[in-house]
Parts: sequence; structure tokens; C-alpha cells
Amino acid sequence: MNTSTPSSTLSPAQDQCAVSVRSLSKVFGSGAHAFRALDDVSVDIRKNEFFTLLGPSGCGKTTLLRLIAGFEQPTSGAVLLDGEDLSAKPPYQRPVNTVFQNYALFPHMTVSQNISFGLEMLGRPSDEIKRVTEDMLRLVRLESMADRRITQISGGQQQRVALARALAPHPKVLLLDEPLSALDLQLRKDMQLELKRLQTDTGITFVFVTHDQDEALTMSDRIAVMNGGEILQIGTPREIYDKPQHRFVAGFIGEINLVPVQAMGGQDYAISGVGTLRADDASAAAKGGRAVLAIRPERIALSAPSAGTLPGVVTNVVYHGTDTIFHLKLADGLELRARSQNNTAKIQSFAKGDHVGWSVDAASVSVLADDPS
Amino acid sequence: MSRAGKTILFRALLIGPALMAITVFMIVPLALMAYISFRGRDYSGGVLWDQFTPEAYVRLFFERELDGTLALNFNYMAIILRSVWLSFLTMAISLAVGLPVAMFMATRNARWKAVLVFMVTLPFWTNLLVRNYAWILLLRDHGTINSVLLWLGVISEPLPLLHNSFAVAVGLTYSFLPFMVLPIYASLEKIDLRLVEASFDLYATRWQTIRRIILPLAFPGIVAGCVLVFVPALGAYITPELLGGGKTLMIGNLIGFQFGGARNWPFGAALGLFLLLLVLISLGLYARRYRGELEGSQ
Repeated sequence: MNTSTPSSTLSPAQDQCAVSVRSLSKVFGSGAHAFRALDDVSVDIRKNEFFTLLGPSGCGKTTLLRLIAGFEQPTSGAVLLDGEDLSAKPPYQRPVNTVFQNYALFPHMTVSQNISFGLEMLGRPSDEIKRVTEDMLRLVRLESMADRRITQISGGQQQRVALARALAPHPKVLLLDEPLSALDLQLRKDMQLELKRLQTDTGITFVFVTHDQDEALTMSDRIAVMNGGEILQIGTPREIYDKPQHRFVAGFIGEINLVPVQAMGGQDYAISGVGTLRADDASAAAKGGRAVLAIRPERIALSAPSAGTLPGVVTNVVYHGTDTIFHLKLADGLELRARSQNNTAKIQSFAKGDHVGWSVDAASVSVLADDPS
Repeated sequence: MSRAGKTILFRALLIGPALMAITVFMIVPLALMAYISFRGRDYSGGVLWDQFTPEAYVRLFFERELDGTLALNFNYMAIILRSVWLSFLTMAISLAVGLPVAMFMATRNARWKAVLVFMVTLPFWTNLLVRNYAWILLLRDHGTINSVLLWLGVISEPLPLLHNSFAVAVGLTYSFLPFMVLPIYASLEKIDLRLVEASFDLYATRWQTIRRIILPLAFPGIVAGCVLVFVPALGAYITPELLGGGKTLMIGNLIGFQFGGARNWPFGAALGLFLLLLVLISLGLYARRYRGELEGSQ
């Protein structure tokens, strides 16, 4: 599988590394029913990093998280924390805390009893427990709820209790398993910013699991995109969005046009029956070989047909308020979407059936291998 | 008839059969029992209906000498105390044995759970009397246990296993254990396993997780199990009769004897009411002691 790494995502030096995952595999079941949830995954997560595991359900992201927490035992490979192998340690000996998807708050305890539980189990002195619990209540703005039962507070408040409970023991790494998925949209947006703030304030390494690309792009320092038990690409949100190295990554995050082409040598690629396009991408395909160009709709500029543009016919115009999406049909039946922002009152407009010219900056084109996966 | 009137009639019709059943089969017999307990004793069996006397209750604590004076008599109190003690012991052993069993059952997969629940209820398929006779075969001097121990050379004389408190405790525990296991299993099974993971995640060891998370959440089941074992054990009749021999009477046997051989119906009725009082008091104490936990874990 394609695991080439751009310069910015080279393995960090070991002493900057909070969690180091080494060729980790996990197989559930055995024989004919065996399911490989995680396939030889390696990743280094830096200290103080907001690291996101992004992928569709069943991609192995939660399994990876549970292996780090110690709830599952790996079939092979190892998890290192600050350079120390965690394999032999049960969950209660790992300096790692988890925010569970459905919070898993203790229903027979109050808000503050939930938050202080970890500290109590660590045998901290009672004055410290009291102080840290109060700090945590303040941090998640639940001071007035301290003595409420878990069943007496709202979903959003439960979410914050779960966060406070996991942060209270000040773990080296905080694992978050889709913690926002049960919240409604507005609350989710607020919590995204809140989580980012907490991560910056506490300086704890966050490993965040989500299937929501928006969430991943907004909050993360780096993202690992996963599918089928493998990590396909690791990079900053910008790298993942602008320079997808894998067809799945390109399609999973945001909208993208995938255009089959033939390499002409150098940086030129021919779209059959349309023309040639220049791509400023290091991973150029060999001359004559087939490839796929990935182009974001918003990077495509539309104009009247002219020299230096490629021809297309508008088949549909969809108005979205902030922007308008033009559906283009190219000469050989290929479809293309172009997004143009409505940032002036005088909207550049094309109607259905118009012949237009389109162009795209060479730096905005990614070249992907032509394999259908 | 008005609409409201119809509603009232409808409600009365719905609740009527249940009210009737409770009145006829519970309130009337209880009132009759209370009435009999204050009547005179007919030595040929039965009651002197026209004679009021508290004699039956006096008899609980005192013995009437030939000259009519009263002397303290602890014989009946001893039987009652033994009943309470044996029931408590039965409850404690059932809890100690049943809790781990219920935990084991609750953590198996769905198929295993069904098999295990079936196995726990299996003894109910056989009559209690038959099962208690089986224990006689196991416990008697030349029974299975003693024979095996003698054959192994562990002992040279048969152990006195039958016709004592030990035999009664064993028999009662055996009889009532399912009533402890099933409610605890039911409450354990409802516990979200993610809470256990959360507890491990927050540095609680296995033992701490059991004590701080699992037991509090299973508490309603544990209380139900204890009540379901203690109350019927207190009124047990067959087991002390068969396994206790004549020496280890429990209050149930004493009551049975009053209505049978002793022909003292008022005293039997008084003992029955006293047993009811004991049960109500112990339930009241239990509810009072654990009210907080019971409400909290709903």
C-alpha cells in the first residue's frame, strides 16, 4: 500500500513521541470467521498533539484506540508510550484515559464523584482530589452541577463530565472515541472549539477518533485517514485536503473531481478528447502510464471559452447561497464539478447549456495512482 | 349514567377481581388467624370461639406452673431465634455462593447464559420433598459423603452430618440458592460493560471495579435475592422436618405441630402472627438501612 510520507510527516524523534504504534495488527475471531480489523499499522503520535484517526465505520480506528487503551490485546505488534512498551500492562496501569462514545458515566454517582473516581483509584490524598475535582468542574463549566446525579443532567453536560473525568488524573494521552457523535449540530460545533481549547490549555496529547471529516479538519494538528484496517495517509489537515495521495482519501474528505488521464511526461497529463492539464505534483506517473487527477471543485476557474482553457458544457447549476456549483460535461462524457464562491454581488453566471472554458492551477492538481481501491 | 360515573364503574370492574382475591385469600384468613390467636384452646383440637384470652401470647414467653404462677420460658424463644439465625445463615451463604455464580453467568455469551439459567432452574423440576430426601441419602451416617470419606481413610468414624443445624443450613441453602442467583444475575446482566471498561480506564483494579461499580449497580438484585431467600427460609417446614430431625425445630415446624399433634390452635395462630411480624420488621429494617442505595441505583 502507498505509505509515502511528505517531509512534514516524517517520524518525529523518539523523545517527542507520546504514542508509538509499531506494526500493530488485530484479528477478531478465527478460521473462516476471522476478521482483520487492523492490518500492520504503524504511527507516531507527537507530544501535545491533537491527532485524529479519521475513517468510515469499520475502518479500524476504534480498534486502534482500544488497543492503545488496553481494552483489546493486539494479535501482533506493540504500543509504546513515552518509549515504554505497554503490551503487558492492563488498562488500569496505563497512564491513558478515555472519553467513551456514549460517555459510560457511572449512573450511581454524582457528577463530582464521577470526576474524582480516577484520582481516588490512584490513591491521591483527599485534599488533592478535592482541589483537582473543583478545577475540573470549573474547566468544563459545571460547578453548579457538582452534586447532581448523572441522570439529572443533559447530554451535553454528560459529555463534559466524561471529559472532566478523563482529564482529572492528568493522563499522558487522552483517547476520545467519537465523543461528539451523540450531540446535536450546534452543540457539536461548540464542543469542537471547546475540545481544542482544552487540549491547548492542558497540554495533553489528544487522540481523537471520528468519521466526521469536518470535525477532523477543524480540530486536528494531524490526521490519519484509515480504511480497511490500514492507515492510508497521515498529514496536517491542509496536506490531507490539498494533497491527497490516495483515491480513498481524496474521495472521503470533501468533494473532489477524479479525472482519468494519461501521463505525457513531465508535468503534463492528457484528458482524452479534452486536452492536456498541468499538475505540479512530485509523484508524477511514468510517461504513457495511466493516472487519475484529483481536483477540488473550488479550484476550478470558469470563464468564456478561450485559449489556455479546456472546453466544457454546463449541464446543471446548483445555487448554495455562499457558492454556486456548476456541473460540466466534457467532450468524452466525463463529468466535472466546479464551485464558484458568490463573493461579490455581481455573480459570474453561466446557464445550463452554455459552452464554457475551465482551467485549474497546476499546484491544485494531485496525481493519484490509477488503482480502483 | 354520566361519563365520570362510567369511568369509575369501569375502574371498579377492572380492579375488582384483584381486590376480591386479596380480600378472600389474604385479609380474611389473616383476620381469622388474629381472631383465633385471642380465643381459648379446645384440647380436642379447634377453638373455643366464645372465650377471649391472651393466653397464647403469654405462652410465647412464659410457662404456667401448676399453681397458676408464671415462670419465664425460653424454649419457644430459642426455636424462634434459631429460625432467624438459620435463615440469616442461609441468606449469607447463598449470597456468598450465589454472587460469584451470578457474575460468572452474566459475563458469558448469550448462548451460554441461556444454558446456565436453565441449569440454575433445573432443581425446580423436581419436588422439594424429593430433593430433601436426596440430601438425607447424602448426609446420613452411611450416606454417600461419609462412605466416601471412610473409604478414603480421611475419617474413621462417620461424621454426624444429619439431624442437626448444619444439615438444615445445607438443605435450606440448597433449596433457596436459585432465588438468590436469579435476581442478582438479572441486575448484573443489565450493567453496561462499558462502565467496567471505564472503571479499568480510570485505574480501578478488578477488585475495586467489583466493589465500586458492579456491586452498587447490582444492589437492587442483591436486596431482592436476600429477601427472597431470608423470608421463605424463616418459614421453612419441610427441610428442618426432614434434615433437622426432632432436635432442630424451626418456627414453621412449631406452628405445624400446634395445629397437629399439640392441638393448640390459638398458640399456632399467635406463632404465625409473630413470624409475620418478624418478617415485616426485618424487611422494614432492610429498607430503612439501604433506602439510599436502592433509590440511587434505579
